[in-house]
Amino acid sequence: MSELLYSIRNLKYAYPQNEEVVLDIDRLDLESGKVHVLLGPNGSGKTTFLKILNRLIEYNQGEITFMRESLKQNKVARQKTVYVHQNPLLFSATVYDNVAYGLRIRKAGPKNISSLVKKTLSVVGLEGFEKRRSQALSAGEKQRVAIARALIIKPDVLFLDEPTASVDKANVARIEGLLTAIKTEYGCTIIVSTHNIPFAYRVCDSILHLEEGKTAEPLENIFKGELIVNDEQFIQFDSGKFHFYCPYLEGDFKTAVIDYDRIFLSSAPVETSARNNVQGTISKIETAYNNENLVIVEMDVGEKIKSCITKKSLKEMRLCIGGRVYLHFKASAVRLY
Amino acid sequence: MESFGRAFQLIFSGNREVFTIVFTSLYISIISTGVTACLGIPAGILLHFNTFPFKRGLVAVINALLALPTVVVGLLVFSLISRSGPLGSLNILFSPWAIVMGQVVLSFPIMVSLVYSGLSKVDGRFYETLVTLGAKGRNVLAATLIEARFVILSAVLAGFGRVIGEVGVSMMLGGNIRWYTRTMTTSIALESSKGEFSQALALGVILVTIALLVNGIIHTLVKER
Amino acid sequence: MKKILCIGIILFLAFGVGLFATGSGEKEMPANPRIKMATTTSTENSGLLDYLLPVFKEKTGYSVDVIAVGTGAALELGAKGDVDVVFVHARSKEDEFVAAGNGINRKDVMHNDFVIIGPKSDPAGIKSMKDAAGALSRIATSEADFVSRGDKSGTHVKERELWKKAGIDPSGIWYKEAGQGMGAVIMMTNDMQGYTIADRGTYIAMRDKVDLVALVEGDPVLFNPYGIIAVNPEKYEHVNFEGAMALENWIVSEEGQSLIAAYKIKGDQLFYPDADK
Repeated sequence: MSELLYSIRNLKYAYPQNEEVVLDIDRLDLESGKVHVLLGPNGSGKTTFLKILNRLIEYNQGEITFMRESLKQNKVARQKTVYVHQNPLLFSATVYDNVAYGLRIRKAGPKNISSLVKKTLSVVGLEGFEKRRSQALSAGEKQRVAIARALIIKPDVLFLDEPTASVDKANVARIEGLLTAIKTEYGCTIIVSTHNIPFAYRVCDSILHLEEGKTAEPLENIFKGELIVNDEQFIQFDSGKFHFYCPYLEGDFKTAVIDYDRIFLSSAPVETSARNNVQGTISKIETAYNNENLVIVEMDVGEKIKSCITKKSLKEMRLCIGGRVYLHFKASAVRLY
Repeated sequence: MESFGRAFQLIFSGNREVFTIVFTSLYISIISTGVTACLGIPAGILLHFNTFPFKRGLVAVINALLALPTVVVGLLVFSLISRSGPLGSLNILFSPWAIVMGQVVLSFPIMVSLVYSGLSKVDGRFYETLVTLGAKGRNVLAATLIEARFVILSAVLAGFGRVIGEVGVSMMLGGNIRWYTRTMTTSIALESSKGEFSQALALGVILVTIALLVNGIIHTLVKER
Repeated sequence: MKKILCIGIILFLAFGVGLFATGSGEKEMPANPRIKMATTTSTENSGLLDYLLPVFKEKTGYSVDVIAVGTGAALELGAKGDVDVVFVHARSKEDEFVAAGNGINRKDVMHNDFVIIGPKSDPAGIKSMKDAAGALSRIATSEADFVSRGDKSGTHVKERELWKKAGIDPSGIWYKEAGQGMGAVIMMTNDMQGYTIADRGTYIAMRDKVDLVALVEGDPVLFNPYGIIAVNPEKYEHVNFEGAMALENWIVSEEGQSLIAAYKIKGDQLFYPDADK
């Protein structure tokens, strides 16, 4: 199901004006059908990166492939990927004309356009907005019109640049819901940039930190699921295949995150103060890409879960693929979003 | 004050000569503006979308040409279309078409410059939006024309304002021929030289009214954006 | 709303085409019914042409486009072939024009005379002098404001002649070169309450609007003959020579001449026919 969508190697990008390198990505693969979140502060290069992937900016160093073809002059990427600005700009026309634009230039028939506009507006929750003037909309409405305008061409990839930057809390929740709806309705890959951490974890399938133009895949396990209460003091998070204790917090949480290095391993069952003690099977062992002394051990506990240990520990504990191992982590090691 | 009274009397009495003069002015200016629009708008758009060496220089030259004195344009075109000039065989000197030609030369830089500067004020996100939605060259052009319609319209109206109010070109190239090339401005010049101030004033009132109308339209359009 | 606008535009266009196509009549039309005539501001400002030309058109079907400039400019337009006929008043320049091969068939049409006009108070004291050049020297000596056409028109040529005769090269702030037509110069002179030389026709036409009186007149040197010259068709093939000759012949005909003699403003005759001379 998930295929390699973008593959980026040795990408370097500097603005032509001042030659300052704003993006420097050695290696990054993005799979299709997922929500990829690009998390980073303002000025970290998120917008530039999205625009490069959308071919709005021509990259000058390195290689990027889109569906295994070079991104340069890639017509499919041009026609099937759409970028939505932070503070999107609507054409000074009606909502209908805005949303219909992508279909009009693709020479779709008017009946077809009309029904698709209606449908797409209902996906973004703006039924009946067709005749409104774009200038008269609120910021949140403008954003959703812009998303509808992008969606109507049924893109393979939808880029959303900081959709939460200029909207209030209620609208953040709405966009969250919208992303889920888009995923189910259109099945497209969504690459979204944000600096809103809770939003990032809640919507993401995979998360990517971007800082000063460099990406880092975070060393953390991300589980999607819901909270279940079956204890007075502790509460459990259930991903469907794996459940574990987590801090007692009130709220509607969808995502649990556990850093690799907060998970301890032992080769035999031991008594610990940690709430979570589980048995698993090692499915993969690999060297951490940024530190030769560390290895990342992937285990199967119903879900895949990863821990990070030193090479020395690996040797001493004689861990190997297929071997049995015990995992321990405290309830407080779990972050909920 | 007395001439003001006479002026209004002339306007409202439906004086045939006043009517013809006003009509000739409007007619010639509208044709000039139309021709200039057909040339100037595409030129402004081309200038906006293309980069080439010396572009900044060209833009500077066009902006400098905004201040082109009407009599210089008149003189230039005169020497072109005079019988002994290179375009003498067209035989259009002292005809409305001569005025049109001069006015086109006069208002062309205005339209190019206003269209160009208007387009450069169009948000950069606009082009990115078009491209990301899959627009190709022709679509971009069409969308830009629609998006910048107010800018373009006000450029056209500014060109019209310039030509309807100019006297140098009309006088030199049209010859101020009664019933034929006498426009509001040349007529005002003539009547005031004859001391016929009320006739001059009547035309002046009409001219100012038209100028105010055009400016009013520009203002409303720009405000509406 | 749009519909109304459309209809308006269509009407406007239709009307405009009609306007541009004026001159088409039911009468038998000459091959080229438009004549371009360069003339002096004095003939137009005096209203004579507005009086003569409609009759000419009625008779012959020719409509005359009048381009009123100074005599110098009118002859220059003729020399370039930009007009078909010139109707001017500066005999010496007219002869040069013909001699240079620019025009043919020069004919005397009419004359009026120049007058030196000035304020009633007459600070230079030239009233009733019979010697125009002498009057100019008095103006120069008293340094009263004098407005010159300064545009190489027939009037200007005459004025320069008179200064030359008086042996004066006028300069100083009292001597203003306006560079404008006769009407404008009279208006300026009126505003300054100074002196100027005007052709009688324009002066009479404007007399009621200004506070200036004719002070010096009748000196034979102030005689102002008008001539009409067709632009040489051998030099410029395209000129409407037939039209030019029709106009010339009509204007020196008995009918034309008697009309000129009959043209009066408030009882004053402005021009005296000359063609029989």
